[in-house]
Amino acid sequence: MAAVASNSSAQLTQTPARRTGVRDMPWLNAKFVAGSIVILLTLLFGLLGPLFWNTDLAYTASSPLNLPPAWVEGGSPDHPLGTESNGRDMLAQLIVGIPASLKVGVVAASIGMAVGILLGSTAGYVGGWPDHIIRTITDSVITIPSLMVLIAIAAYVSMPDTTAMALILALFAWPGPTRLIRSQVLTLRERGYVRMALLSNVPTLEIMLVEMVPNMLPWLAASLTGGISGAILGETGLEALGLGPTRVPSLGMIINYALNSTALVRGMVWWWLPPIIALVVIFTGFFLMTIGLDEIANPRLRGYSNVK
Amino acid sequence: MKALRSSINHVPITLAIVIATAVAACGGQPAAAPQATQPPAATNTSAAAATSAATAAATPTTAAAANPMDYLNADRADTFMIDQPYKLDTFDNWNPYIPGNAFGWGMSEIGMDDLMYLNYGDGKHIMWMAEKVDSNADDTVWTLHLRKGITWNDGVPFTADDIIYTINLQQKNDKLTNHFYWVQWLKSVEKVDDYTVRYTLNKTNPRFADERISGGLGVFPDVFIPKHIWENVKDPTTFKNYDPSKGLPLGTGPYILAKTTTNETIFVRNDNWWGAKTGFAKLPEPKKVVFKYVGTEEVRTQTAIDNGFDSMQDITVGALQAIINQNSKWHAWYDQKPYAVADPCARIISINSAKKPWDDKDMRNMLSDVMDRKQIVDIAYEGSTTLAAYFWPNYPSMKPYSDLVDPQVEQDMLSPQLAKAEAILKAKGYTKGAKYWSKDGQDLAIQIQVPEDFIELQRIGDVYVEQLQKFGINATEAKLGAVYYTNASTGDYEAQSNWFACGSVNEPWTTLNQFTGAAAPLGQAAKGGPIDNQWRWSNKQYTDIVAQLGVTKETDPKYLDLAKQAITILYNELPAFPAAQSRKIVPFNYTYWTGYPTRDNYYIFPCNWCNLWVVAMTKLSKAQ
Repeated sequence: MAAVASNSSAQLTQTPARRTGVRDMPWLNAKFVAGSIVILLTLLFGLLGPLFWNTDLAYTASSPLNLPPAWVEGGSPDHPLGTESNGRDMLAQLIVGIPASLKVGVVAASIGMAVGILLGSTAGYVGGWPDHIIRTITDSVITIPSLMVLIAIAAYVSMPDTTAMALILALFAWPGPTRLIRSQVLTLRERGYVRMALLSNVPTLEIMLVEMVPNMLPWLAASLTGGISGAILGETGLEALGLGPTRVPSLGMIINYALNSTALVRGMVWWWLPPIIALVVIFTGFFLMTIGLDEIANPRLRGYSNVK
Repeated sequence: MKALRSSINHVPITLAIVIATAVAACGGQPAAAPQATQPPAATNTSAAAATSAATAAATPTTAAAANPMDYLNADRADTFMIDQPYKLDTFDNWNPYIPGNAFGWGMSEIGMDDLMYLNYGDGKHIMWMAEKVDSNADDTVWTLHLRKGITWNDGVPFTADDIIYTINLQQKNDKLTNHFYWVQWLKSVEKVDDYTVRYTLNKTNPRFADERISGGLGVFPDVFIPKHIWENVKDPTTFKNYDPSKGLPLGTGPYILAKTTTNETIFVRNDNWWGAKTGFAKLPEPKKVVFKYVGTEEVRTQTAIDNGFDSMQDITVGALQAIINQNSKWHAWYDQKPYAVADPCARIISINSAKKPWDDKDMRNMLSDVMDRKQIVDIAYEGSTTLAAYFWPNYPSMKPYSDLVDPQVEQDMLSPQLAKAEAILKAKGYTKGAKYWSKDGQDLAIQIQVPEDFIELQRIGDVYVEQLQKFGINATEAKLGAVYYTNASTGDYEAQSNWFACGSVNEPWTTLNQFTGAAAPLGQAAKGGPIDNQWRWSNKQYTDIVAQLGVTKETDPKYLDLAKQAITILYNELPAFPAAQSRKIVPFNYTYWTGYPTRDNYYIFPCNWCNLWVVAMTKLSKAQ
């Protein structure tokens, strides 16, 4: 990163008026900051929620059935966001469900990213037959309609908790990062500092992981946030189809139970709408982070049209 | 990166569409309790007439019959629409012997006839293709007398030859339905004349004509096949039996299969149906019957509200409330809770007795003690079924046998016995930690498998898992696809929420017999019933008693005593235990049709996915 930053600064010396602007502090990118705040607040809701609310109410048979929110006639202050047909409190479900969904996204995307770094760096830096093999496999896997395969796998694999779900999603989370990292490595390996390291007999693995990977951090971060969104979307899709864990609530599971219990036609808005709003907020947060990181990594997107 | 951004760009848009669609579909207000109105009275049926199809006979059809295929263009008012909750995956497989066949998409229900049907309402038989069934003094020789004038839908007479051909084919081929039944019971079957069949059994069987009806399966073979078609088939286990242009699948029922897709099957009326021609029954009024899959329960519910269905398969309480709140023409069995008609198959939790620690009867009893069955009724069923502690339905016809259950055992089952459960665990060396009971450093855990497409069983599993968790057993639930059924057979499960003790409706033997036989080895498919059992529970004493019960007449003084002995062992060992009486919420739409079975006119069980549905079709009339 230091190399990229200093490189960029050198090229921008022709426009001194911009030196003190916000755009010269890329990590303060407004979209990235806004997205980070949204995700942070979402995380805090899940992390601090249990301090203020009894999360045991998120489980089946813990509350009265079908209560509307407290502000609607028939509602109860004991269940401010209402309850659903299995006797679960909606507020407690959101407090438990939001971090559970985030966890699946983070675990799946992190595994995908780790595999992507390993394969992408190898393919891009080593080249030759390892590159051919990795590229062929990656290009093949990326064309597979992952949701269909995930549905088939999920139907046969027992998923008692969200970890199993995350591992299944990780099966298809690595080709994207692999491609991205390979293309970045192909350009980075021609840079002077990499050639210098090579001339200094620095081991290949060290060049890849110590010299090159740190210089790809913004791209990796953008890819990771995008990957988290993708994994959460995949998880929600599988769970909404009824293929996820059943006990610990997640956002997709809440939607699945709402669908199975015809919450839509029963007019139980308080059941199906909150998880959708939570997902919209999470996706918006990660989306802002991703485009913010994209701009951080790519000065052209910040308006530096004269950057070569 | 662009692609990444592009794909992420779609996420909020997709969700916005979801929200917009959901808002559009939303009914607005929570569904209120249904009005206690009665469905319109049937105009052409009566309870008395319903008990015997023969007495409900109509004038023989004499008018010139229309070409059945013309009825494909019948309008909505002449069409009967039946809801199907699942997709038809193999729409070109109509061989009743190949697993996954499409027979249940209308062929069993309206394309075929059975010899006789059992009306769960009064426990009486409705003689259909059979005119009479009788036996000798020791029930080893049974004689079936067929009605005259029965024909296949291609005009070929249905005779004793078809019945004998079907049975012989099944008996010779171990891949065909009923093979093991016939091998076990049948010594020979012979034709007396075209309308009379004589069965000679290996041993006395007082329920020969009855036991197969008990599961709603029809008497004798479930599905007869036309000899003049099948005798030219090389391999009956691969023959698809599908070519509507040639009249396949061929049945004797009042409707002919005209068209299939993955979402629907369309049947058209055969005006030359033997039942109407002989004056035995009324020609059904609907010219076309469509079995249709439209999607999730949300979509099914909305379709019903929009009069897209006349009859629905089992739906949830919430869906029913939404339907009757928005379309007053729909009526369930009851207009107030429990809404539902009692289903013949009680819901149970099956335990695999071949897996430790569940091979210990005390541990299985402990699992039953933890179960709060009232909570299951209140939450999993939202109050739409009744509390009971039996492996069989709580029908009046079963009361003499329900009374054989030890009253104390029954009473204990109706409420959780946590102190008893704790005592069992302590005696077995378990100690209670912060969260779970454990032994030798290992938490006591159990996984309960549920079928992913069976919401009722899932909801039972959901509630029971929480009860076990609260008690201190690390219970989890696994929702599985088709592998759920494979696991049941091969023993790859610890516990399952299911209905596999199903069978008895008016005698105890059929359900008790499910638990007999040797325990199939793990990994090897269990054949069920007397061959070996899926619970991997084997008790020789029990098997012997049930075998003796099987050859004893109900009028024999020993009968109740034998039943009591078997029931006592079963409730003591609990290879499975009852979870709830099952129910079916099966509403009917009175917009276009009337004459449905109701609680006041219970002429047949209101099951549009059962063989007996053909009886209801002959009773329907156009709504005025």
